Amino acid sequence: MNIQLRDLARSSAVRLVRNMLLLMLLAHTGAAGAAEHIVRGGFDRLIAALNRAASGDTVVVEPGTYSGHLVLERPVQLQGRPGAILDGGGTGDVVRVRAPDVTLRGLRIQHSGTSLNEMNAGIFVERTAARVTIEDNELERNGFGIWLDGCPDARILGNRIHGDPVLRSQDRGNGVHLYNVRGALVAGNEIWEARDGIYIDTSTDSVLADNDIHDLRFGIHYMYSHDNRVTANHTRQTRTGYALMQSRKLTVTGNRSVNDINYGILMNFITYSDIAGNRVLSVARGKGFVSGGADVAGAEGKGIFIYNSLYNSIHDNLFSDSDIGIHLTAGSEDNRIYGNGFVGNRTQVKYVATREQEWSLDGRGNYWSDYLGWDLNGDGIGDRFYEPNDAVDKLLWKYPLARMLMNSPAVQVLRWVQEQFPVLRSPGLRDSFPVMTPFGPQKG
Amino acid sequence: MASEKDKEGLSRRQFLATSVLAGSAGAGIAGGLIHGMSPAEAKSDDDERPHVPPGDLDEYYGFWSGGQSGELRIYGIPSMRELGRIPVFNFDGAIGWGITNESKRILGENAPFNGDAHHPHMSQTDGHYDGRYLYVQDKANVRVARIRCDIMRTDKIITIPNVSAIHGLRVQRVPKTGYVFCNAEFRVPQPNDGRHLDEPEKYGTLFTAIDGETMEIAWQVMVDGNLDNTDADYSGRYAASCCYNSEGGTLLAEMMRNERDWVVVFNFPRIEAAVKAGNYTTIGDSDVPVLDGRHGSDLTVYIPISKSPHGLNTSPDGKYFVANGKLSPTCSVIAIDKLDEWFEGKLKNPRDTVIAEPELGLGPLHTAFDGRGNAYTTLFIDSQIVKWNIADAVRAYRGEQVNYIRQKLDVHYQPGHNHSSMGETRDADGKWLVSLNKFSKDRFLLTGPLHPENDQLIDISGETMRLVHDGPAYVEPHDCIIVHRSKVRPLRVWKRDDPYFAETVGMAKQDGVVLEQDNKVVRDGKRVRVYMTSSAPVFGLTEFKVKRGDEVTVVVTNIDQVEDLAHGFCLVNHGINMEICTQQTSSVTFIADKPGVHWYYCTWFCHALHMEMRGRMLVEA
Repeated sequence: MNIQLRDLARSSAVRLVRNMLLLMLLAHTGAAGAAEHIVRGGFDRLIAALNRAASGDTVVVEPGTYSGHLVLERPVQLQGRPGAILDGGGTGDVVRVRAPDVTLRGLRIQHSGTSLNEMNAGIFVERTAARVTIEDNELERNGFGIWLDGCPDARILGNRIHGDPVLRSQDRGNGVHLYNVRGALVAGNEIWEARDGIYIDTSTDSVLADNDIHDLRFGIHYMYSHDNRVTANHTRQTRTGYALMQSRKLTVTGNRSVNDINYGILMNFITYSDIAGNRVLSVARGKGFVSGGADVAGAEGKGIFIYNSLYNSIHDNLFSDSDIGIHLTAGSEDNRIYGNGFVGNRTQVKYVATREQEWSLDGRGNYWSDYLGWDLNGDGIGDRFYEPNDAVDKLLWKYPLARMLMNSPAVQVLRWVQEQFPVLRSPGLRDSFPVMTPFGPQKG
Repeated sequence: MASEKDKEGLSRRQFLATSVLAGSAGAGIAGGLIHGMSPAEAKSDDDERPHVPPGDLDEYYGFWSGGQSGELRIYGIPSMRELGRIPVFNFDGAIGWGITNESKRILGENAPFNGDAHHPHMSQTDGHYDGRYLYVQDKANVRVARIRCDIMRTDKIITIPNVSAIHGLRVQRVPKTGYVFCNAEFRVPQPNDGRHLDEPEKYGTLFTAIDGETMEIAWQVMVDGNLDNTDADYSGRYAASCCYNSEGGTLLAEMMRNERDWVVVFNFPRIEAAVKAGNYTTIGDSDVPVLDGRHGSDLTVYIPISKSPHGLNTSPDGKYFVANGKLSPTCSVIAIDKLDEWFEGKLKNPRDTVIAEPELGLGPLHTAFDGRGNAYTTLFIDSQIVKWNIADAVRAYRGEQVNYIRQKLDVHYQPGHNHSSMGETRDADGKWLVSLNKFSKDRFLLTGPLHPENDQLIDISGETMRLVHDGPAYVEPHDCIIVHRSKVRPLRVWKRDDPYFAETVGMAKQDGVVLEQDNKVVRDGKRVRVYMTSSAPVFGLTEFKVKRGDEVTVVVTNIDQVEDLAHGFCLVNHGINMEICTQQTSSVTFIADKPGVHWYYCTWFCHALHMEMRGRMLVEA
């Protein structure tokens, strides 16, 4: 599909992340008076250096493998030179952070234990460790990558987090796990072959931005977490890009989902949220068997699944080339749905409800690739309403060339029948102002 | 902005007529297309609905819990017709449950008039329903009740000591029931007498085994964490319970922390041996043996399971416990023969008892079985039933590339429990599945802000699940069982020697009254006993006289012989009404504190002269 997207939301998210990084650099400059300790050799030397370090000091780790389990009980910066490796030897947590204001940067952190019972992690951050910064590390084959255990104001930036593909999916930990935190920033990380990319549970006022998450179970897995921003992330080859559940006041903008399997975006009991400028492409289409059951009846891939979710704005998104573009059900009413592009989905809309809805706002509807109306006055808005999923749509999806037969008696009769007997319509859904081009005229 | 108006429905017949029209207009392609599309696939077609014609009987009984209504309900399956209600923990003014002396003997004096009944289960013998009893718990007031299936009335209610909020309940299947197992969900201090109020780490909870025949408590086992749902095996050796609060937290966030909670398995032979050997304690003034089954005990094994698991279901071949992951999209399949190995010391890790862990979808809560090797799990978040094959899930866990998922079916909306026909017995026949959905949203005409629940019937007899019926239900069925009608043998009329009213019969005997024929008033100081028969359309006494302040007991015996000829006794202005079915005796005791004429009348329409079936209580000032 040749669709040029305006992606304002994404670029603003990137700016936000850059600003955060800049602030942090300034903060580091301020701490320049602190001492610096250089470590080379083995784990004991590293421990010794940490014991010598005063609060605010920097411990620089020279290349080499440091095998053991670190517990950071003082506010220090641990800075790895390229080739510095902390290795947990397959047990426990590699690094456990207890003190506030700790920074871990430039390290390769690998081989924690894999016990889900013990919640083993590459980096386990305890409740007392406020304002931790974990930046530009490589986390490899740990249980969980990073577990934030109720610690406020964490910064998780630019890390590469790789799970252990030898383990079964469900036996791996999550890339980044946020439990009961506030004010976290998780940005610019790459996460793959873990269980879920970012799991956010009972956590508020956090920003998940610009992460690249692929080849795992759920990209961003949400449970009962309010007032968060999910912006400019990218998921691909996951079994759900963005599983947003039981949360309110989310800002979900400028994200991408490409080649995910069950859902691009799942909204379950999401209220008062803004879902805008996201692009969801090719959910499930033609994937064949994968764990989690694609290719069976009822497991069609859905660009967006809106379930028991009310009072949201869903606009200026693109849902393209999936089994189902949008599935809306379970009393998901009073949402504002406009300015979206629905392009080439096998079923554009699955609408299961008994009440009618209008999907446009102030004279601006959505772009529908199967809209067959016209725009005689050239204002960019179709002159005839759009109602999804009539039998003609089905025909056009199956046989695109049939578009040339639009004036044939068969099609005319079918259209006439549908107008006389509305049971043939997808029940209850109308876009009175379909836009003629993707992301067509803005309102006003 | 969304504008709404009600959509008019059109029937299947109109739909078909339309396609014929289109076809006859020469648009052959159109007819084919119409058949191929599913504009509202959530809807069933009229001609595919399981039809039980008027006058025909259903093949199955359905026994439904009534949730916070505190009652049980009887359905016919597949028609989903409601056939009756059995008051249990609730007050029921229709039959006088909570009014009659007979019901008060079962409820206890000053019993609370609410209950929270979740899990109804029938007694079994060798893994088959035996039609003797139903058992159901009361989460609200920590009770367990037994219902006699011959009369479909509650005949015992007991309070479980030392614990709070009885939730999961199941029966021993083999050799028979036997034990009734119940899980106390909330952790409290033991004894809960004011100690440790602010020390939640000292709270705890217990697994309880009740003797289902005596309704006395056999033993309790102290556990770590909490207890959610439970089920027993098919060998009489094990039961397993889910725990979602291994943290022992009192706040939501605290209960959510652990990646894995667990399933705890109870080993009965060892527990019984420990009781016999006297290796137990008691708590407070309760004399129930309490055993220590916390971590380290050899009476139990704790199997770590992700994440806050909820439902626990035993496959009807007796091979597996299935724990439903709730916050994990997986179910964990525990092999029961591996439990033997664990308890024999042959396994290193409790997780070695898990032999499959299929990824099914979001929010798996409960699993049912068809007896053909398939399982049906409710997905709360996806709002679907997923059908999966257990053997294929085992192969996948071993690393084979195999798709264990057969189908996903939308249900409306957000299913909790599901249950298949005969699915919790060896006789699982794979015909019907009920999905008990927590929300109906827009599926029915509005009934005010409180909506009905939606219990949907699904045909699982073929390869493909088919949704065939929407069943609105008043608050709030949690679970049901579907029992072949051959297993249930209710009486058509009462037997005169029924223990249900034997105490009343005994009282009459002491007064020298033959209930089936005598109509007389027996005065014993301020206590007055009024004995009368009822036979359509007359009460045996059409008047009786008492003094103001007398304690009056009215005993009515229905001496009609005809099936389905109930009488009622309602005393105007006294809050008294009760059922007296054919050959039944019912009684009620009250203070006659209002001088004057008070009519009593029959409340069950019994005769052409039903309106005339009444009498006067004359209260002297």
